[in-house]
Amino acid sequence: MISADGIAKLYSGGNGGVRGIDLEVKAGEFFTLLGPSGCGKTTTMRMIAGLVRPDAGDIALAGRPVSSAGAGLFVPPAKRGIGMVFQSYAIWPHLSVAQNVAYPLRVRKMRKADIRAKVMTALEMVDLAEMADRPSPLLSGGQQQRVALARALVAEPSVLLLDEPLSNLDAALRQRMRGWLKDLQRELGVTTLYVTHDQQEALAMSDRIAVMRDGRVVQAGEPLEVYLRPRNRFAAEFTGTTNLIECGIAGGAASAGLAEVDAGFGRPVRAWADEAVTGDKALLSIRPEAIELVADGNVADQDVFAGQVVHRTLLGNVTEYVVRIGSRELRVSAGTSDAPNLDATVTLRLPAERCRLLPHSDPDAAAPSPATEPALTGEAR
Amino acid sequence: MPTSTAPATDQSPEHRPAGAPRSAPRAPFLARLRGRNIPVTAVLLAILAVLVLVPLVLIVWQSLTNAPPGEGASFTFEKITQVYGTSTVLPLIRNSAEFAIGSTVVAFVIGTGLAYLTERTNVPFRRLAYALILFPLVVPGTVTTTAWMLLLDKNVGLLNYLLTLVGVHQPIFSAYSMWSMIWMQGADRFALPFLLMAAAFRTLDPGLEEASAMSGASFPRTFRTVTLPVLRPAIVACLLILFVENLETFEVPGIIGIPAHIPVFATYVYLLANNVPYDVNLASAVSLSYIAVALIAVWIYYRSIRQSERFAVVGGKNFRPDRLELRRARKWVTASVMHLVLLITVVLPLAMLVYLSLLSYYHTPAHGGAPPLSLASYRWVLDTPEVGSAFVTNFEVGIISGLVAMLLAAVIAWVVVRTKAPGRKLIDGLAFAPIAIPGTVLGLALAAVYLAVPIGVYGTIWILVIAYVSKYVSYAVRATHSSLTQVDASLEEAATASGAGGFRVFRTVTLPLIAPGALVAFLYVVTLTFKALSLPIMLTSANATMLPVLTYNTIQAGNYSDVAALGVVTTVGLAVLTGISALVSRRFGVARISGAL
Repeated sequence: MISADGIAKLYSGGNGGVRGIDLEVKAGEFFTLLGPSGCGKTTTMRMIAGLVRPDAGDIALAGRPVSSAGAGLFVPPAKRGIGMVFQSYAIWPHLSVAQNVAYPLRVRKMRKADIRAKVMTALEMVDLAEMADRPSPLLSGGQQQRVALARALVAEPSVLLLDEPLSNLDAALRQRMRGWLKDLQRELGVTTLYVTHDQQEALAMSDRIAVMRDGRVVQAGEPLEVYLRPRNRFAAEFTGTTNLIECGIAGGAASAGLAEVDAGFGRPVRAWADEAVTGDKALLSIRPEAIELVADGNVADQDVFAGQVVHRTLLGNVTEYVVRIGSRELRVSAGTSDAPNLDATVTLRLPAERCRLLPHSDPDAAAPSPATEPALTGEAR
Repeated sequence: MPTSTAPATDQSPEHRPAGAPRSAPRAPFLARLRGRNIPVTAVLLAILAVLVLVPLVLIVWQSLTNAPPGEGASFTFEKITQVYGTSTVLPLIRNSAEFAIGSTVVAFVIGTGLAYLTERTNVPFRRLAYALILFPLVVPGTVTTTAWMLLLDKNVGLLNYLLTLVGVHQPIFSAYSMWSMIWMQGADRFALPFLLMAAAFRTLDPGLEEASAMSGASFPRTFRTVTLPVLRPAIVACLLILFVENLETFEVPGIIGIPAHIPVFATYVYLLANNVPYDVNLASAVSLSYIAVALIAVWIYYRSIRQSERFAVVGGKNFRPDRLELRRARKWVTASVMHLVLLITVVLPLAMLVYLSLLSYYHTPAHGGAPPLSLASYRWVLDTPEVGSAFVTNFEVGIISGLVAMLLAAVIAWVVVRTKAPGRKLIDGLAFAPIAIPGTVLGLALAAVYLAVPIGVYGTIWILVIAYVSKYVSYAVRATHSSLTQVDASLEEAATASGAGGFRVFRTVTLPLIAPGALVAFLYVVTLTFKALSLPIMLTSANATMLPVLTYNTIQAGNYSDVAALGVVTTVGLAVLTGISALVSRRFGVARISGAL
């Protein structure tokens, strides 16, 4: 439904550009571009909307080419038949709620009576029918967001673009809107491209996600797949908390599949590599909840290690530990019953399929900023 | 009195007898003012009443009598009938309306067009455009008008002469017409609409327009149904403030309108009060309608800025809009048009000014080849005692007025922003009202008041100080007001909680934080005293001549080269002052004064 082929946009400052992206969003799919600010996700969406003209690449919507830098083709946004919700909501302050929603229909020269009916249907869909004649500046943030959604959907576009629509809401409302928005999308079956920097939003709502960094997609796939099997350090860190441990590879290379690496635990640990890793060093990534606290585990067993609890934080439903194994500290997230005490010696199982072996440095990564760069001591992240 | 609420019962540590027990912690100065602020409010109201209400009352009284106060005046409707019972006032209203509306439209169209191009498109050379657009702010209108007069004059105008070189022998331009008055005023005043509309474009959420495009609307439709309505409050405010300024201005109506026999309110009031036969009562009667028009405009303006504040609730963020990408040929055509406009409206009169200042006297090259250049006019500026004393007077009056206006404004803003004092809305309104009192009318009234009240103010610099403070305190209030609202009250409370006494809090926290805003306001007032003519023209005496008035008198004497030299020197001085002001605002992030209006 949305297909982008090698689209790029470079800005003179060098920041926030897009350096060549391929996307293929299927009909009815909820597809999310996930990444930090400045990664190019919004620019990518704006190129698809037609608000930014790509420097390179082709875009087609429902099979119809709308932009081609090579052929000099550029269909203006007004002619692309897309619905879009802006981060600021962009509710016109001089129009009432109903007038805001009616606008796309009036542009399409629909009959007055039909417009009213469609507007009311759209407003009912977002539970705002009783607000129809309110002046829009009097709405709360959550209401504005829903008006923006009604306006984007009222003309029944085949493609819906959502630019961080939940980021201006407070945490509780954001959580509620997440489920509501996903249900609505599934009900309408509208192909949706969603932009966010919030990994929970992306994982919770999407059929597929693309993790972006520095104008490129670093990994794309179903949310669970990206979460469980990150292919690089950035994807591992940006989709959730993880332990990143620098480890040595005997022989300077590990082929795809199971490998034994030296993670500083006193003896080798098994890890899974999706692709062959070259170099003496690599990163082992394991998520805190993947580590099992085993009562009376046998350290002679494979994947089982003894450690000491050096930190314990009770969070209610889970308890977080920092456990020292050998020279390394791991963050472990576990259930709250039978919680071991501080300084207790515990046994941990590190399931081999959850220990992901990643390249030591990400491909083509620009120099990471100091703030996001963890110290490579194997300390828990 | 505010001083009566001062800590009379408190003893400063120095005066506390040795060994005496420390007195109970005193309530902070500010907190006490907040509790008992009626005296401060009363003092402010009294000051503003003297500055604003007395002149207004006097104008009304004078229009209903037949002599100035103190000269055996008796009550009569004679002057009112003379003005409003005959057709005297009709051509006056028509001329004033044509001039003010016409020049408002010219200035608004140019200023808004430039603001759109520099804010929302990628047109090249934007920095140069900015400099050219803002430069007229430091050039006194008297000299710009003189330059235009000599450019456009039917017989000796440079432009008509240049046209003869290309074979056009019938003069096309003429300086002494309503059209040229409108052009001169409009072309000189587009910096203000530029600043106001640039600010509006900057705070306009580009998403509002993009959402319209995504809804399928074409660019013209988006402009008509989204951009214009959303900007409407800003546009209305901008048009009204321009209208009021153009209604009160004296430069173009005085220099061009009087010899062209095109009287407007400002010049009519001036002529009645300063030319034989003097009739200040008739002048006052005319002023009534003059004030009424200005008051209505200011009232609508006041309402519309409140409306735009309501709209601002929606946006109110910083936007980083994508500039409209002009491509290839269109980009360069747009740049050429923009700089051609700036060349004609800004560079042309300035070049004329500099050229003029280097001639010993002006004549067209037709009268015996290009005249030789000379520095005689600059020598005149340096050697003439009247010029030196006008500069000194202007500096004295400007600095004293600026200081007083700034301090008064700081107190007014503090009371309005920080206290819940009864009457603070009235104070705010009274401090804003002088914008609606035209300079000539205020001058007329103050002259009468201080002639009648013999406290030795009339004929000295002090009547000028009073006049400038009354007129410009509103600008200063708005500047300090906005910097004070940016200072959270908790900053003061934190100082109090740290144990600082009331005055110490004000001195060490409040004052330093609002100082940059206050300094910018001060420099702005000083700049205005060097530029504006409408107020001092009514109040200058032989011992206290302001620079704009000296310039006007030199124009009357026909010494245009001297006028130009005077203009160049003043402009350089004002450019330095404005440079300082710009540095201060950039350093401390103060909104430009005119932007705050």
